[in-house]
Amino acid sequence: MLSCGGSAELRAVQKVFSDRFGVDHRVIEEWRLYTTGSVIWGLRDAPHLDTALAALRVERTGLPLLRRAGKHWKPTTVALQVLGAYLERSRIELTRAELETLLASGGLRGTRPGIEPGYVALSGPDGVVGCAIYLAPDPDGGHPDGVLLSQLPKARWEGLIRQAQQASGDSPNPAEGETIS
Amino acid sequence: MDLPAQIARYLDLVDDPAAFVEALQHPLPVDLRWNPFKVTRERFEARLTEAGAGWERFAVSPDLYRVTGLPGPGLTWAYHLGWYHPQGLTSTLPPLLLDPEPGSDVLDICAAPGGKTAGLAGVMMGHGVLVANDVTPTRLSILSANLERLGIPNVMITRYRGENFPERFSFDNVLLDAPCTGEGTFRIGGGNWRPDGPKGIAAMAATQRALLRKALAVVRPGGTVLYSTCTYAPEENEAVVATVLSEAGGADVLPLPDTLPARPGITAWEGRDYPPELALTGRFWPHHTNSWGFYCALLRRIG
Repeated sequence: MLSCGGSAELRAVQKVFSDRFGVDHRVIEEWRLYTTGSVIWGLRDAPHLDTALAALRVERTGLPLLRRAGKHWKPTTVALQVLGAYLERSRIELTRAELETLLASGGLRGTRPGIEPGYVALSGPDGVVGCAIYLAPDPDGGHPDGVLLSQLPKARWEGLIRQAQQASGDSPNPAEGETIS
Repeated sequence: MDLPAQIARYLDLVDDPAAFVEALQHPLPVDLRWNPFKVTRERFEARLTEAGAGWERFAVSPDLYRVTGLPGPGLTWAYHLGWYHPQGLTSTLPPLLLDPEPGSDVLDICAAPGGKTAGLAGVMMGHGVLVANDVTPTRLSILSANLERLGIPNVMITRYRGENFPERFSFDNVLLDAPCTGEGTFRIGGGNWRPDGPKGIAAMAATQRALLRKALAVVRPGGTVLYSTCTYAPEENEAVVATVLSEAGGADVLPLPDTLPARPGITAWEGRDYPPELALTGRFWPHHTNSWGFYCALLRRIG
């Protein structure tokens, strides 16, 4: 059930997009926030918006900005794409070949100097593509060099993922990636 | 030439039957509608050029690109980033004909899969109340996926049976792209269209009449309704409009721009006469557009 977002939702959106990605808070404040429990939605304001929302049983509004992932809120791919021009940090630039490797295998090894571990925006020749998780180098763990794990929506990107897997010979494991400075 | 009887019965309506049949023997071209919410037109065109594609544009639908040399337009990075939506030329026209003002209140009452909703959002420049309604879960899922991919910022999704859409809120404009028998998608030797027969057409027409009554009930006086189908059957087009107008008595038919590649709606069919203003509606034949067969009627509520 859709309900208006309150201060908790605003804090969650600000924490992710302003604190982590450096988006100007004024950009965030242009959105009207709503929630369906596991998703926080952003909708552009309109003169008769409140009247319409009161009169209709609305399933979802605007664009999904954050999805609940355990205890955390995860930025959605579409939110990062739409806010791409405003992202000041936690953004990793990849070549098209690296993006395709990431798509095919789901992960890309390599340290990312200056990037704090956590959610990052994947960026390529066409701008921001979507979300990934960056895990810092962990000599005792399974990723001594650090690794990027794709958070792109597998079902919706299935065709492109399959195409990338065919092109790469269907590599199941994170491949070596160049360090991006 | 293997023309189903359900299609052959329209040969008398067509200005050039031979050209009509010839057009049906060719697959549809690849038409892509540029999405202004995700990329600039210049960058989109540059990407087409980089991909080695050629394109043609149309004055009647300025954001549409008829593309050659781009295999698999649903498997590109640009598609997944929402830079364009594959959409036939005639399918891009209803939002342009309805022409909602930015900031207005607009309902797309049978919205899935969402291409026309996105087109409406483009005309509205992303400003105003835009309600996208559909009823079945699978169609709603496709609708949501497309609107998210295209980054539409001002849309609300509702799940009502269109005929039962509540009348507690009125709209400036309503798009009714009605469910139909889809005859306009038929191609000889290709496609998935299968004949529905007279019973199928009659059943669909009953649904369409109910939907059009509702569309006129939820639009404000002075507001407009764009009724469209992708079928040739007069029973689903002019007859639906004529019947509902005669009942409502509070709406009239507005003319469509004469620059459109359309032929006038018909005013008689199989012994039934329709009001002369039905000639103001438009029939889009594939030999004039190289696109889906289509029908559009622009109505204004006056009561």
